[in-house]
Amino acid sequence: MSTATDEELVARVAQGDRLAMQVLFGRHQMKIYRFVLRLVRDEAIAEDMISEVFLDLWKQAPKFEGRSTVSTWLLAIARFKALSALRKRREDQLDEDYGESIEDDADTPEVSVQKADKGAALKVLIAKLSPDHREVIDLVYYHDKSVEEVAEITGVPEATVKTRMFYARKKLSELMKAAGLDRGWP
Amino acid sequence: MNTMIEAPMPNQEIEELLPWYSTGKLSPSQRARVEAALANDAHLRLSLALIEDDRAAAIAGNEDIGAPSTKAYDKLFAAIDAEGPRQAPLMARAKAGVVAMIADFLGSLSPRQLAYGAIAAAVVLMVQATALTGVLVGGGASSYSTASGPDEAGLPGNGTYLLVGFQPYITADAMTRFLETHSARIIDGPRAGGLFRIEIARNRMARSDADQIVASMRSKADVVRFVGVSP
Repeated sequence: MSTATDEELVARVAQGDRLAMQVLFGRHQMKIYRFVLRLVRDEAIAEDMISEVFLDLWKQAPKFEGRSTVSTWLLAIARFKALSALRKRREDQLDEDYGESIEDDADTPEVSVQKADKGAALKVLIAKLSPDHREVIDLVYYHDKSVEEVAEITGVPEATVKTRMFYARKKLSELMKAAGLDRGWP
Repeated sequence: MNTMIEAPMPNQEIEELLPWYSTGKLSPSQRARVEAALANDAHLRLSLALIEDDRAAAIAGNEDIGAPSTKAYDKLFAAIDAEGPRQAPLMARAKAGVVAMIADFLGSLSPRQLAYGAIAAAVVLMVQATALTGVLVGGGASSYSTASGPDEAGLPGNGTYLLVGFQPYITADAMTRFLETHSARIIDGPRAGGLFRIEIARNRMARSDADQIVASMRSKADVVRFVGVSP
């Protein structure tokens, strides 16, 4: 049974095929939306952004050479647009808001309630990680990206991806410990 | 349990690879190294177990995020519509390349008048071939212009319509086959929840007939996760 791969669909999009564009949009819009929303934390901005990301795909499809997967390509475009939008919204102020909660050793009401449920507490604490750490966690665990693909999306060397992931995990364990959920690692 | 691991970690390099071991994204040689280290290091095995917890939480955290509205879809295709149809760049390049090649070839062998005449004939042949190709392949972008065209999207219409949600793992080919089997075509979508509005008949069918088609579609549970009648 033949199946249309993302790459084949992009080739069809390059020839102006709207149905292929619809299929690609349907296939990737949710993950791109979630990725962008986790970065910009504003649903309206995230929705605007995914239309811009896919419009870039429509425009750039003839130049797509298949050096990376389509999802990696889309995530790289999405990240660039999200960070540009964040800069416009005074990124420093946003980071400060989230950074404050990271330094807070006291349990948030959510974590206190969820101590009994380790998975739920982890979800809350992943959201408290710095943007860089949260991003690498999402790209590896949720978007299933390899070291090379994360490097391509984030524009940092592969060695940095590995150490960033390590310190993201370490920070997450520290947050868990601070919340009274010592995991014995690192 | 809860044994603290002293820093620096003895298997730091392997430790850094564990998340990708967990997701199956290592090369065979890296995977073999990690597995060899795991066999001899309880700390690494603890670390891997925690990674699985983290991974499950990251996935759950993302999946908690709801679907975007149809605003993004509408905006995207409005922008694409505003750009107008485009010619396939590959075809355009191929045509230009062949004409140039013919010109070069004839120009090198013949007097100028012969070269011009031959180019004109070649161009006529090329135009005919292009027209025939256009007919055979269905005219490119225009083949799908009805899928979300401004003339139909969002309008009740006079036909019989359903709302269909495809399984998330469905391929484009399987979707196309499903639509062809039921003589249906996509009119609009994806809407909120990933639903598509499809037309199953150009005229208004009796409700009992439409219900039969709905039942038939619902029996294809490997293809669709939702089918319902749409106004």
